Amino acid sequence: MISKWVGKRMVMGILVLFIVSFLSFFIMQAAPGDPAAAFYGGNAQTLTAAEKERITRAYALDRPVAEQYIAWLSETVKGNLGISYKEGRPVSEIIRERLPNTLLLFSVTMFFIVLGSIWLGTVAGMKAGSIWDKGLSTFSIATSSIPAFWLGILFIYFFAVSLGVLPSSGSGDVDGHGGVIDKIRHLVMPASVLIVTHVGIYARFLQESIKIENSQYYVKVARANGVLDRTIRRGIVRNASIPYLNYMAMTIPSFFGGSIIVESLFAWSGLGQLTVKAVVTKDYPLLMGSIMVTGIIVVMSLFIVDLIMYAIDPKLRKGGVR
Amino acid sequence: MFRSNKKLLVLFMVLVVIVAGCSKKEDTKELTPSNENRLIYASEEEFEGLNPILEETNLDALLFRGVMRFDENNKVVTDIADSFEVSEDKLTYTFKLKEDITFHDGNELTADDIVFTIESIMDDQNASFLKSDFEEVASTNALDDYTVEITLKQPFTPLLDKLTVPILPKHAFEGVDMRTADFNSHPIGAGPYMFDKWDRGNSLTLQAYGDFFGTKPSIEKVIFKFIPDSNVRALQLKSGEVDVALLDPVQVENLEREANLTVYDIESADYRGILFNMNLDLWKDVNVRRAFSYATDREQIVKGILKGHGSVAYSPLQNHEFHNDQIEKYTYDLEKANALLDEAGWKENEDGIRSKDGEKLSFTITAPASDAVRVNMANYVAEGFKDVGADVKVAALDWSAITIEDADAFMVGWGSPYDADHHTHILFHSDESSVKGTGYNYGEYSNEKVDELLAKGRTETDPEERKAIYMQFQEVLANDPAFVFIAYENAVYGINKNVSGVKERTLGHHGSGFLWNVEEWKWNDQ
Repeated sequence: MISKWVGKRMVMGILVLFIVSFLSFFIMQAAPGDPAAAFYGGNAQTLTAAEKERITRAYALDRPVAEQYIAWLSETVKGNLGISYKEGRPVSEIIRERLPNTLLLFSVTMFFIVLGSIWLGTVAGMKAGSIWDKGLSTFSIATSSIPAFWLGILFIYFFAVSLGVLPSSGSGDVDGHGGVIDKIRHLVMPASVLIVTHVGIYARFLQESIKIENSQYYVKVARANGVLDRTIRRGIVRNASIPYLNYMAMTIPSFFGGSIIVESLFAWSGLGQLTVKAVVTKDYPLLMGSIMVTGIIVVMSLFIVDLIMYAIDPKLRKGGVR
Repeated sequence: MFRSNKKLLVLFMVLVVIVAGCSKKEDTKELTPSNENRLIYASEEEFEGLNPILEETNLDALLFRGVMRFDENNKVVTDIADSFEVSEDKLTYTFKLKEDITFHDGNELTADDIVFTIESIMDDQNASFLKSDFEEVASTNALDDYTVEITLKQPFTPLLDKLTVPILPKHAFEGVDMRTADFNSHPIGAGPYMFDKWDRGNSLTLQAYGDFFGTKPSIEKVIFKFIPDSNVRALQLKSGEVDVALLDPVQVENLEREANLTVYDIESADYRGILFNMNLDLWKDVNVRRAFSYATDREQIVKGILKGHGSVAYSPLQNHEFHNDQIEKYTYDLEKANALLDEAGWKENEDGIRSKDGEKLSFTITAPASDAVRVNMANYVAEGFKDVGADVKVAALDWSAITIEDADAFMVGWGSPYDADHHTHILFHSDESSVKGTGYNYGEYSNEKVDELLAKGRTETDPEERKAIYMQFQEVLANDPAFVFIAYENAVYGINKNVSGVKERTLGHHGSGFLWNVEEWKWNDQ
């Protein structure tokens, strides 16, 4: 049963990645602008028509788009992501340098967002009308409306400039002497910005589900029968977490969008920062590589969320569909 | 659940405080050179590669050296070359090289490396951005290990300037494609600093090269820390996490008050202007171009947009020894502007916009969106041009979406502190059309007298004669303008107070060249 379900999910995941690659490739080609000019960035003013033509020829940009896509796809499935236009190095090598940082930021941030939002959402949801309940509503609106960029600058000013306790940019000590502690110190600010701007909205979602669940008939019956409060709460959280997990699955892709801003601000050398650079220079192989790797991370995360839901939702195990 | 989570939260808070408390003194407030003899430079962007003939970076001056070099007055002097001779007909230059100069890998630098560098620049396969600098070179030959002969197609006075190009080691490229060579991320030069390590996305470290043939560096390491956000750069300068940073005009006032910093407000040869596309009928009438030059309030732009860190512009050679200040400066004068437009037949309508033969006086200024200063200038002048009855729009586009030849008008940025020919011939000579040729004359500007003077300026070898030629060129250009010259931008750098040895010289585009003599810099408290 489970193997069939996992197989179906994997096929869907591969299909999603294929669609993402197809759309990205064609949107990129349709975007206005000349790759040769982007290639030179600020020096574009010193680029003549002849040079533009030469670059276009050198990178086979004059071939039909469909032909370019098929060539790219056939190489990618063999594991070859190509060579970056700008850096002249294999894309896989460039991505390998950045991937650990992105995974670290994403996993640490997600861990604390989930932990914080479950705790906040449960406390506020179980005590309808309390200060926790009202407070969380205000807190979630406030924190999710704060631009991450502005909050980041504020953090830098406070923790790096005024107090001097945290480094304000980079993902490691410039001398390379830093160990685990150094890594964590560099991680604190970018992760905190992402946590603060996301935790409230996730908690708010869970809070609403818990409130609805808490007013259900079966809860009243359980209370009347003297079932332990702790047992009831566990049941409520478990039932309320299905829509919460669904919401999380839907927002993971946009979470990645938000982390790009944070990566750029804190010069955290991850995939987000790399993607921005590849867009600016229209470095197609690098851009496609980073989009695909980000896509794989998103698909894998959704798969994990699905597995958790499969474990807690009996309807799914009975062959139901979400 | 609540109670146990509360414990967890408290634990997390404690953890954060502990981690924050594990503050290592060398990368926060306490960062002083007494710990380590190193300099951290806040780099605005990360480089794609470090091959100086494929990409220009501010590391070039540290990693590499050229046959010639610019001194603190931007005068070209010998560097790798010990001496040179020029033939009677000015077509052959023979350079004697210093002996015992080594690259960072220990190999000796010889005449073959000079030949290889120039040939690599000329090789279309490499798509070097420097190719147009060596178009006049007919051949480059190594006569022996320490003698190089360069033959020209015609006399070309700026050749010595061009030979400041960084020299590449031939042996590092044996049998490899230059565009994808490992050299591009692990460069080998003959400069005062050698490549140490590149932590991608984070920082790049250079190490002093002990066998450097010139002044031995006092600072052991120079670290380029990549910080794309300008606010973060300024904050790190304040917190002492970096020692040197280029500042935005709006940040200067605040940082000047910092006790631990020195602010250098340095003149540059970098000007901004509006290029007229001469294929547009509107610009064919010189009076219209002159009218818009009068309608530009430069003083306000320098005061407001550049916060005073710059000066009004009227010539492409203003910060140059051949500067001519006796030419038309187009001081802001709406009366003159309106009179010139009336004279050109552009009559004002009821809506305040002028028209001629049923055509409205209207055009678009294109500017690169990534350059906030250029966009601000374009918006400011567009608004101001309403006062002379022109309906002007601004198109702020990504570089990749800009085709300068197709724009009605474009917000240009040029200027070179070096030879007078450097950013003049290639911009204003009619043979340098970007459409028909390989130059940067995007507006297809054409003036016979300008052509004649620029051609003479290149081949004339007598300095006084050359000066006279370029003085006259500026006058002719002012009377038949190719651009509305707006302003020269200063480069403002903040630097740790304890660093000494900075030598100011007129800088290039975007403040490039500040680190030109970093091997002479030192920490005062070392």
